[in-house]
Amino acid sequence: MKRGLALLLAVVMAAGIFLAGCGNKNENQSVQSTAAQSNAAQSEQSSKTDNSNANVTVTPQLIGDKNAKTEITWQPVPAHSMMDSNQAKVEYLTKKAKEWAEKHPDVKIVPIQTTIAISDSMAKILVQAASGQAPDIAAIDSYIFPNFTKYAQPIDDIVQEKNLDINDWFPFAQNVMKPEDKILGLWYTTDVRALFYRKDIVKNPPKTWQELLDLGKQLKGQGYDAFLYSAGRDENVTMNTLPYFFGQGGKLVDDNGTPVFGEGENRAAMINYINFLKSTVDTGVTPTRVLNFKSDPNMNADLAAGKVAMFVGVSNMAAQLRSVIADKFDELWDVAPIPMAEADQRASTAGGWVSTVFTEDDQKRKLAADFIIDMYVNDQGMEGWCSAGGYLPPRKSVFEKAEFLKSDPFAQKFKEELQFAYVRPAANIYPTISQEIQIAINNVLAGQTTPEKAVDNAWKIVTSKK
Amino acid sequence: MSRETIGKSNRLSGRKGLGETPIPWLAPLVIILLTLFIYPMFDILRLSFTNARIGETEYNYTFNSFLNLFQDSGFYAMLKVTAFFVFFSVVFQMVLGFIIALSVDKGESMNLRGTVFVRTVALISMVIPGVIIGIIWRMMYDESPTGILNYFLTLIGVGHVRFLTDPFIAVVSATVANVWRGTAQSMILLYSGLKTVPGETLEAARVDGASAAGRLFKIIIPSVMPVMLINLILNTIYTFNTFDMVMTLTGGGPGRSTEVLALSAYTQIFQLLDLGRGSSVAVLLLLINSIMAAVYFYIMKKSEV
Amino acid sequence: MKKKYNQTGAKVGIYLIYILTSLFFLYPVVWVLSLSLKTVPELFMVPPKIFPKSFNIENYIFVINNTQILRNLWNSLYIVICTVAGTLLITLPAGYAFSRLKFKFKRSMMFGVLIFQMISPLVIVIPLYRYFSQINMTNSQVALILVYIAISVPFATWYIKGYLDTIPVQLDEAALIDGCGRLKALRKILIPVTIPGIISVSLLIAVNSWSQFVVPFILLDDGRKFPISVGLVNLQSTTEAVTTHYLAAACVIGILPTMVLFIILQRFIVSALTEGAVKG
Repeated sequence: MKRGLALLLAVVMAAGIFLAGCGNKNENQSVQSTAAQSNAAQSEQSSKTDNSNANVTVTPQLIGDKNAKTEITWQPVPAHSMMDSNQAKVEYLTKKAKEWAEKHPDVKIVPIQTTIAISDSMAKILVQAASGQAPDIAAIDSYIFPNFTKYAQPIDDIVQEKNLDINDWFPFAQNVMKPEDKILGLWYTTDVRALFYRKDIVKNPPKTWQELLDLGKQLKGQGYDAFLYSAGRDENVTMNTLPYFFGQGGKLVDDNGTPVFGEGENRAAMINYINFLKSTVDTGVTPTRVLNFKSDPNMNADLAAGKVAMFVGVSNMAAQLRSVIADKFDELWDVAPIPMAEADQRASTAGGWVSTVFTEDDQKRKLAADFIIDMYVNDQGMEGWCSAGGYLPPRKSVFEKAEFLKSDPFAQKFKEELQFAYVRPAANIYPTISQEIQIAINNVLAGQTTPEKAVDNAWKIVTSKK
Repeated sequence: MSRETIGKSNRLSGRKGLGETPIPWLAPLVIILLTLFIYPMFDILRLSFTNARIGETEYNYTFNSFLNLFQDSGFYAMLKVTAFFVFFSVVFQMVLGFIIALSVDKGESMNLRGTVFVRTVALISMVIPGVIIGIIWRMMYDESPTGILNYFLTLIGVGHVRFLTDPFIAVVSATVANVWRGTAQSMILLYSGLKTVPGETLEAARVDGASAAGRLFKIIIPSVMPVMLINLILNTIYTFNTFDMVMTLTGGGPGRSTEVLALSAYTQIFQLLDLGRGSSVAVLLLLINSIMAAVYFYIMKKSEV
Repeated sequence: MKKKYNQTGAKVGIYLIYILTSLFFLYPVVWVLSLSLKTVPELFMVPPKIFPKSFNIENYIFVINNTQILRNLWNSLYIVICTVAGTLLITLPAGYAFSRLKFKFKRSMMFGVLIFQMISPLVIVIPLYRYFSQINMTNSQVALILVYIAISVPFATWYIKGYLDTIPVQLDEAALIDGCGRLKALRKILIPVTIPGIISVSLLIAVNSWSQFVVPFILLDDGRKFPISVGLVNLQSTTEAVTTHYLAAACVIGILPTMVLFIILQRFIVSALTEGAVKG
């Protein structure tokens, strides 16, 4: 009896291996198929004219000739890599990577796919960097970049060689890219927050908190979820709500990077800001389930259901929603500045990603920077990339010239918001401050504590750290 | 055993050779435990007395991470949440597990149809990874108008429940999901315990006219008591160590209301980059594990004698 | 007459418990299955429909084509098989020594081994990440499997020791007398009769390793190497437009292999578990 069962087990396991094996094979094909499709047209032409580059392959796992002498490891954000689900991005990156690889036949780039949990994967790169094992080049979220500066390699020479000028970047990006006298990273995409609203429901977008609450109550009476935003525990939440704080002139840290948000006027501004969020929930203008939303796409289900009148979100939600509700998006939605405490205030926040070189090998350092500049940073690179992904370019000249931005009314409005955008402070303590702000917001919205207590508690924890 | 074999085995035990000492047999086991368990345990103990941060190569030895921990009111709130979560998870896992085990055992003896089906269903959660259990229950607890549990509750007149956004209800929700996850473990242990209850004693009691409840409390429960105790300790340890399910279910939120011990250690290190403090939370977990292990050994020893 | 009445009463009671148990344990799984087959409009239907109208398999096709889920499954299978093999390689000799050899501190050592069963993997994996990253072993499946083995070893040693204890000593002693070395006696005589026990313990190790999350979540950064548990967390937190129906489909794909295996082998697994429970 038992022997029979053992036999059965062995058969089932063998079958399992066989099936999984087959599945895996299919999957490999499907992963590559996107790259293959977009390459198909191109390679048909190029293969006739140019046989010397027959070994260049571009897949999400490898860019270049697999026997190439020089190997560069590259850790992009998944959303900015060939693993993304957005076809436009994948096609753009595949095309660009192929061009670059054909120009550099001795080099192969090995992309590392990482987790999507951003703060966790940033922490891990930091551990690797500290033990000298970081990828040769990696994309770092701008807010945590200051923690990496001591491991980042300067790239002034390549930036100059490529005719790029750091003064062409928006000022907020310059400060992060060049903290002291050397350029340590390349800020390659940015984004900005705005109030998205339904044109058919909201005639005049609210400018102040009071207007928003008044309008919200009215809309709620008509059965709408008047106003959504993300309020879970995530960096995105701090980012999307900090405009209310910055708009009042609040400061998180002083010029030396020492926290100041819990003292004097900053404390008052912080309390006001959290109190405003509290009133959106208390009045029912905002449903409590926003506490479950971590990233903006968590709102997609609600937005698609058509019962939401307004939300505050990041600029690439425009591209996101176009893919979810197609043409209806441009027909129904518009954007406006984020409502502020007073009518004369205006603020938003800008984030984005910085690519930075970690390898100390001089040849690799140059090649890695060259690759990133070609893909995402130089004139064609930045325009192509941002247009494919619906991102905003952090270089002023690209913003002026890029065709896709001229024709997109949303982009024009986002550009204006960028003029009023704040960035998160370039301080090592920022991740802790952000986490405490998220917790304060969570606790207040869940009715566990008052804004005053929450802010003072956050202040106590942050100051005990350093 | 015949006299001859005894003689031979005596001769055997006198034999000396490479195969006779336990060292080569146990070496791989000892090496893997030393390098992958004992060394890291000492390392985390050491780190807990430093101010190390992720990404910094230098650090100093200090008691501050523990001092700050004990001064933080959030820490006590976290302990309370963990205690609630562990206590109610374990109690309900045991009670439900026992009820199911008892009825399946009884069903088997009565040859009831569907007994194997129910036994299988009750054990299914054992083979589902914790992260998937978290995701599944998050879908169940959906608070938007399309949420299924809220729909049923509204239907029977309870009304809309804020499963994951109310700080207290969120802990209860996490506990229910964890009961769903861990009942199988209790059920199987107690089920095997019930198999050891002597049938004759039960039959004798029945003949003597003992009621069902009397038999349950006088015979069945006392004879599965050792198994219950072991179950209690094992489930307590596993629940303290829970990390995966809570992470996908609530991520510790809202606020810190479902941030249990293990999750808190993780957050401190991988989100706040505070290696020293995260390690001190992990050391606390280690301490709890060790105490529970000691209790476990004590009970094992007692039940053996 | 009275007895008959009691029997019926017990029957009703037991069936009531059966129904409640099935509802509680089965419903969440059924709901995920239902979500995974819905189209977008059905997903947002108020009130929610318990069963989908359309049985939309496209969600599965989408998930298989657009995520790494099959690769994740393959990784899990690979890791689990290596873990089982490695664990047996270490614990068979160890279990043998604990069962057959006489030496000092045997009891204390056995309890010493069991302590590790109780320690949260989180505690060890934090320092391990740091030193694997120093020797450039992060993202290494070998390192990962070694940790999995370390986690499985304590339980497996006890289980195998317990199983060997049930086999009469005379069996292998006869072989020793015939001039076999102990290793040969283990290999030729004991292992063949221990096969059912080895399969039971392999199944239990496999189930535990399949569910393992903290270890790969922390030790691996490379998405191509993720096992199913980490792959699904990644999918859940994805910032792109993966909505509930896709996530549900991915969950079903993720639990299907073990669930089917469990249902087919459930009698065998239950007996393995009950044996293990009594011994453990």
